[in-house]
Amino acid sequence: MLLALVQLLAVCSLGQPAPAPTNQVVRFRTVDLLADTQAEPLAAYQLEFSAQGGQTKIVGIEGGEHPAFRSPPYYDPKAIQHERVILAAFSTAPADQLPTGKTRVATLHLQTSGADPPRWTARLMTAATVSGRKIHLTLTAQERKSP
Amino acid sequence: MSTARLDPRKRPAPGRGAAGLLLIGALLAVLLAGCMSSVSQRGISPITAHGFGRAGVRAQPALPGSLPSIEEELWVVARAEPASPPAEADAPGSGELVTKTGAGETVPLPLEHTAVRATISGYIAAVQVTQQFRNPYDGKIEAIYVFPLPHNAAVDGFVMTIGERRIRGIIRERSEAEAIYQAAKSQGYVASLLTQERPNIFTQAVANLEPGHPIDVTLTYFHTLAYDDGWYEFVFPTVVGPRFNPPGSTAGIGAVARGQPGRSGQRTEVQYLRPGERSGHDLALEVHLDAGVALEEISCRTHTIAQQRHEPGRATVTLSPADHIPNRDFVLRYRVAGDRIKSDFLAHREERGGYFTLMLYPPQSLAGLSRQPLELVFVLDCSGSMSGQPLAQAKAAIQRALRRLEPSDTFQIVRFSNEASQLGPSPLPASPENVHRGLAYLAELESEGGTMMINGIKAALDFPHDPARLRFVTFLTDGYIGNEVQILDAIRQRLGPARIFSFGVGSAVNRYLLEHMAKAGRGAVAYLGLRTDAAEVMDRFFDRIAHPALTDLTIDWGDLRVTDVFPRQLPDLFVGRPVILAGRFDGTGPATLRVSGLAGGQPTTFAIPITLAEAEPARRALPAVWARLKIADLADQAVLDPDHELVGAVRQVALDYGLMSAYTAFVAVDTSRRTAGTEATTVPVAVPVPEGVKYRTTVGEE
Repeated sequence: MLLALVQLLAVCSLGQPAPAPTNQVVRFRTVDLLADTQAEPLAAYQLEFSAQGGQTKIVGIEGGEHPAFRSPPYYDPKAIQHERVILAAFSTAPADQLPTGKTRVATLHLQTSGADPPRWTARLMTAATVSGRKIHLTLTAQERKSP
Repeated sequence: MSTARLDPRKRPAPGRGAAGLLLIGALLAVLLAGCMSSVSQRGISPITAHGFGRAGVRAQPALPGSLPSIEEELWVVARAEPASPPAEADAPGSGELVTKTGAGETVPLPLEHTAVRATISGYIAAVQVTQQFRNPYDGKIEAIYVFPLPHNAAVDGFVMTIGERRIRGIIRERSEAEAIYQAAKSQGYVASLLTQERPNIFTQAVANLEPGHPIDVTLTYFHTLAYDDGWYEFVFPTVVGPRFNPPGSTAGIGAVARGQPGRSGQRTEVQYLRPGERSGHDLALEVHLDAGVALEEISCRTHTIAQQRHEPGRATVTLSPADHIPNRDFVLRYRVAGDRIKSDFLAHREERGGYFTLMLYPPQSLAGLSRQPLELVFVLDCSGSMSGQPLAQAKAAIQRALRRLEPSDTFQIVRFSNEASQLGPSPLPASPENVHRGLAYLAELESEGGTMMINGIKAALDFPHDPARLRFVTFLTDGYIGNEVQILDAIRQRLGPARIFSFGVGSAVNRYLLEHMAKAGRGAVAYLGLRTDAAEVMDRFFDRIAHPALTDLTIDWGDLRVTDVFPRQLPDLFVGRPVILAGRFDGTGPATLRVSGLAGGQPTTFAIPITLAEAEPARRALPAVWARLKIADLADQAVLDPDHELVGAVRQVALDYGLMSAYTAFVAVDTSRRTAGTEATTVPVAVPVPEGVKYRTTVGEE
């Protein structure tokens, strides 16, 4: 096993979207999951995103901005029934072809409803370099401005 | 009536990158083993540019068979009041497309290309299908495409590609997915929705497709291959044949002419191109075959292929670019070296537990037993869709069968279209005179009218059983009906001691119906393509029924703790025809399974030694294959007993394993931008009638 079993870092980031207009019951939102690896090249990650309150539905999962993570991650079909996704992706590219610093590792497409602001949580479970060494990084969930 | 005018695009569309790569989730699971929660895994390799090359005709000057020139016009007319029961505003076919293509015969439609990449390992195929949509008009559209997949496909992946961006679709309850799609569509977001109309018919909808913009939708599935008399068979269907629906039905699959939506009155409709018309939609197909043992022969009678042998057991097969029109099933067969195939047990363990498939091959001892006298009932579909070559093929097969009957046998010939009629009031002894009479009767039969298959079933099964003979009912049909459930229900209720052998006749038959008729009838299915020797197919049938089947099967699993085996009712084993079972297990091997049954009334037992070797890549398909079989089993029960618990059970299995079903659907929305403009016009993707099927006798026009 290349990586430790323990959860490496738990950085929670609460989405702070603008309140939904009361005259629009259903809205679509785009949330970017941004990782800051500092100077470490990111080869693998696993993270959990969950929506609370029962008014948010995940309607699409998109890959990241870097070619190494552009493929859309897989999700656990059981977890998504509770609007929770565990995303995981990896790349076997050499270190100089992996992202460093701040990078968008995935984008979630959401549908929200109701007048209350939606709530969600993103949590990093683990991350590693190409050699399997665990790395610390910061994970942020950031909603894009409405199109 | 409101009218909108759409012009073909006047500028070439921006290029698109290579089709999407799917990372193999399994490799990540290796990296992150231990701290992963069940992330879905697939054994799909990256797509090669070769396999997904585009036709590249767009930039060419107008030629016969190419897209129309930019000066040509295209009109879209939205009817407010369809003649038939009105379709919902957003239902497939709710717009009407009328094209004026001048002298050209090519109809601009939003589906350009389908690229198929299959990887076969043993008897399990992992298939990736990419549908490439592009809007050829100057207004925003919603594209609707009704298309077939193998009836046993476990569809577990869905990705929408917009330029370089790939968005993985989410499996949801069907009504929920439909509501998400409708909301996204009405708010101007690009979205796609995949729903299942039948186990082998699906609808792809792509909303807010902007002019000139390409969107790919890639879906992935697993399925087990059929095995028949020494040949494994991989089938990729390319077109839904025109279905007949009994009067009064609304839940069928309707067949209408291009530009005439709503006229069938059915919930789902397929629009067909008229004779001489052609869409730009073409097909590329690539099969990577790893048989596991040395390959003896690869054969494809339906299409022109190129094959490359890499090692004794491995080959790559590609569809010839000259054979790219999607108007018939692609059927690839291969045979492996060795005298006979042995039963094969595949196992896979993961965090959810153990899964297995068992290909159960009949014991060789069956071939040493002789059959009893038969009562053979030939039921011939003489409806309009069988007109021409299909009927000729079916007649040739029956002629061959009549000549192979033994004097102790009896036979009957039933024909049906709108009504059913038969050779005589009761089966005739197979004397030379009666066989001659049967051949003469057969020669006079013609095809016309609808496919009231229920009348054929009643005529074939509703007469007293002759206790001295085994009654074998052979149905020869293309299966082009929309009321499959009614037919299967009728078979189950009327079968008695008879056995049903279904023969699919044609180039793109309804394999779901034919397989399930044979399953409900405790018989077997065979296919009689338009390029197949009918006598050869019928000879194989006679070889099969020349020996008794192994019936009343039971399996002693030994030390393995086995649960949830599907199909729940073990089918009979016929010579040359193994069956595939799937189940859950716990325990360790090696072990020996003991299969018992009755052959010709005598108890027979044979042993199958198994090992529980660790997973090979293809074995990651086993949970999906098992779940798909469970869904099929529950759905079969729901036909007989349509209570909500069974429906809920199907839905839950499908959601838990991320699979398509009648009650689940994939939806993907690109929320990152809204498209400009007003409401999109719905454009159904019209398809050709299958090869050998006559437009006039199936679709017709008012």
